[in-house]
Amino acid sequence: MHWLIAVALLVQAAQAAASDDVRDWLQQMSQAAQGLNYRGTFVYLHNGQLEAMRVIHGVVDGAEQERLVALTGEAREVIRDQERVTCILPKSKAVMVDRSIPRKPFPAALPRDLADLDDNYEFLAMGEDRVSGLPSRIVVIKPRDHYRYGYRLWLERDSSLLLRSDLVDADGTPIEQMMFTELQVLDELDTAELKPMLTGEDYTWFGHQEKTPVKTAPAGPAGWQVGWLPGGFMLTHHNRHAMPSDAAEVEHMVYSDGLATVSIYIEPANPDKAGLAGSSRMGAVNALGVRLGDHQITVVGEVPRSTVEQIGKSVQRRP
Amino acid sequence: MSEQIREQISAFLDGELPAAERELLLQRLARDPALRAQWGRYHLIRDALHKGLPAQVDLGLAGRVMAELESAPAYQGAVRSSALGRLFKPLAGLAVAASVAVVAVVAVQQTRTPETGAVQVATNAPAMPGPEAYKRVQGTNWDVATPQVGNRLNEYLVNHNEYAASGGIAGMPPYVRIVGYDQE
Repeated sequence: MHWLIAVALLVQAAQAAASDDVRDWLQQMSQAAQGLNYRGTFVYLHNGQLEAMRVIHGVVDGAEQERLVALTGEAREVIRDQERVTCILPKSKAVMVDRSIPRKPFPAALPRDLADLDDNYEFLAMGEDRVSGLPSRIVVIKPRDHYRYGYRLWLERDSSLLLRSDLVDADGTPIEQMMFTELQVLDELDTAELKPMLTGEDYTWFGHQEKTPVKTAPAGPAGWQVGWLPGGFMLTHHNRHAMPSDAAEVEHMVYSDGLATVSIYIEPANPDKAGLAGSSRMGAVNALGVRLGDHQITVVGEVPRSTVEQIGKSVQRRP
Repeated sequence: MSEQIREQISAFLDGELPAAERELLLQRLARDPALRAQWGRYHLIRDALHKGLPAQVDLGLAGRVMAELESAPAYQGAVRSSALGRLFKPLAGLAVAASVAVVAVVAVQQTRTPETGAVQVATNAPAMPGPEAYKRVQGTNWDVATPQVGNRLNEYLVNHNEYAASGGIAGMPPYVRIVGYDQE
């Protein structure tokens, strides 16, 4: 609520001049996040739960590598490189491996994307602040409808690295918050820092240790159609691939409005493996599962629950 | 309705629900008509199991008692004062009203098998939460019926995350949510 009032008061003053600057900053942020070596500690707040994590990011021989370690609770780790994402889960004594997808700079480099984003979001510069002792600029990305979430971002003034991020609903109420308490940009990074602390030796490994193929779904009419999507959402990927825990192929459609992304997974229903029935949520990610005939449809996305539900219920088999 | 709520209702009817959870359940019952209906059905099942099924079953009772209470001045007063005093006594008025509503239903439906747990609610102000309400919250997992469904969603989440990170704003470390997920 306060956020809305603040926005209303500051909009006119900030708007016209800021919009271009803001997008420049966001582009710099994206480049910095992908291109710099850095190491930092941040806190993550969601559903009233607070966690601390450490991130180490490096560019090794031109390729991005990243390691994320939970500092609270179980010592979970995620290691990501150009080929795979490895999740080490000490509590389940499991290691899950999935393929990684190359990152693109924001926005996905096409001029059309900027205009599309403007149709659905407002970009605002909201002054300066201090986060983890560093001067930062506040950027607000406000959705123009209730189908998507908004963002409040704090970018470090020199490096443009993201120091704090609030994902907020249409009223400005935070759903998920992340804030660095300490962040160092490094000239050189010891690659040993990117190696997991846990070897996962006595753990159960599952997933794509070999590179399994991701098939692009055949062009032309797919077997399924999505009847409803919020304005600006377009199909960005349409694949068939196996999930880490079994070999059965899943049809996967990815829709994005340039900021938010929604995945639709369609697979033959497996009587031994119950799928999600109804809605579920983790932090800002909402999910909906529905059975359609003998298929299980699962929609996952960092958009409001109602959006996921409307999309999920609009999926139909093509006649 | 989650499994947890079902278990809570069941424990409540058996008089085995801890005081802190009882309070939360009563608040939820006051808010949620579907839950009240479910609660009524549980009663029926329970009565049937104890071979005490009444000759006529009144399925709408819980809802009607609630409607009565909503129109009663005392209930409205409680709600209003709760709204005013929200900063200091979060939802206290509503909780009292909810307890009253539930107790009224219990009193009508339970003449044959009095619930000691429920009767306590009638005479007491909302109880302070017990220590279990303060224990460390660990719940990054999905709210789902079975762990298998949760595991499947985690796989989707990891996979979705890769695509989301490739198209959205790079900035927030994209695996934050996943690192959060191996908790209980």
